[in-house]
Amino acid sequence: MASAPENEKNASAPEKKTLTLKSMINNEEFVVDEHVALQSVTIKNMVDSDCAGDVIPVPTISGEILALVIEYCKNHANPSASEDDLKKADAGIVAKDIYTLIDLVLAANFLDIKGLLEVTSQKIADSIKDLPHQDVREIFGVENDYTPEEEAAVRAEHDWAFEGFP
Amino acid sequence: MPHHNKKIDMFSQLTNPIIIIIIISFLPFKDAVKTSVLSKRWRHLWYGTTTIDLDQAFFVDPNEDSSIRSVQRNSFIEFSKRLIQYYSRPTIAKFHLAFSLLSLKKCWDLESVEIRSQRLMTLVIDKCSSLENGVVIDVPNLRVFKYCGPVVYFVTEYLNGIVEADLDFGIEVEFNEHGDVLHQLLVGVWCVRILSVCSYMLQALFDNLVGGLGLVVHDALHP
Repeated sequence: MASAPENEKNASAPEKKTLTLKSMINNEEFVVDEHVALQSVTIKNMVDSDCAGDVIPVPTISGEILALVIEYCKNHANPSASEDDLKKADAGIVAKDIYTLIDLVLAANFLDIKGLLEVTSQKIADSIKDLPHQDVREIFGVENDYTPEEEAAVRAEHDWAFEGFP
Repeated sequence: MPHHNKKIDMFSQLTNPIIIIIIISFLPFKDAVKTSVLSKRWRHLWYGTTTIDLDQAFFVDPNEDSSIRSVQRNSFIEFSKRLIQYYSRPTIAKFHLAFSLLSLKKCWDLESVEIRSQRLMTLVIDKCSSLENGVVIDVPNLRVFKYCGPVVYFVTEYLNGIVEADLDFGIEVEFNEHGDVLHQLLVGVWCVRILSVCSYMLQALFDNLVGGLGLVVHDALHP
């Protein structure tokens, strides 16, 4: 159990079970130790209910993002990693631009990995908190469906929160 | 391959706003409230935040004159009440409350109250009859203190800014050797400018006066 995980190991190797995750966005495949992949509750449920074939297709998540997710899972599946190590490693994983973070948070939600969901959400919150709401709309791709009058009314309702913002 | 372009219809496709609410919960409370203006869908999502910071300083500008401040204080109270009324999450992760007026009225299940605050300016404790374990008041900027109820043990610290104290123990029916407790309380509010007391208090004071304290009491004391 303490031996280093070797992800490139062929699935036929008898001693260690691996799973192959395949991004359906760009068909990239990742061979991952089962205990690493099982940190995703979604994958665990598939495996537990025997729905997982040799290759588990992951819809809507690109290879780039899936690689980050797997890196996170590997770090957190390592029993000898200290709290501090994990914190540092997490900080490295979320040191990305806001659009990558949004893809990552969606992936964490889809794969149901609570820790990754939280650390990514925290980072997103940190990066939008001082922005004017026009920028936040842009980042989240939110279409403003208020009329100018409605928007002014909503703003007036909580004018204390908008002090100093145009 | 600018995956930026597909940005995020994904967000809007999510029928379950749980991710948005998680992100909102990591925002400072004020920024969470601001998300109400993003779109109709977002308008009430911030009510799901698990980080709540009710701070009077968000609403009240100390440089305004008192009539305006009183209006601002009211909107703070209205906002807080509405939030509590509509709040539906089972647990709150962080809760922070900061205000300048605290009024405890008929809180019967409190056994003790400990109030430590830099900002509190008015404290009212009215008919909270179960405070057997006493009241601790460590509020350096307290200006007005009103108490109505049975005699309980008071610990007061640093009440150097107090201007007005109203101490009413009229609820007590018989005199029970509370002189020391009341004396202690009076020492705690020694720099008060307007002191209102009840006849029960006078009785206790009388005992202490006899003890040679030389305390002079009017019901309105102006140095």
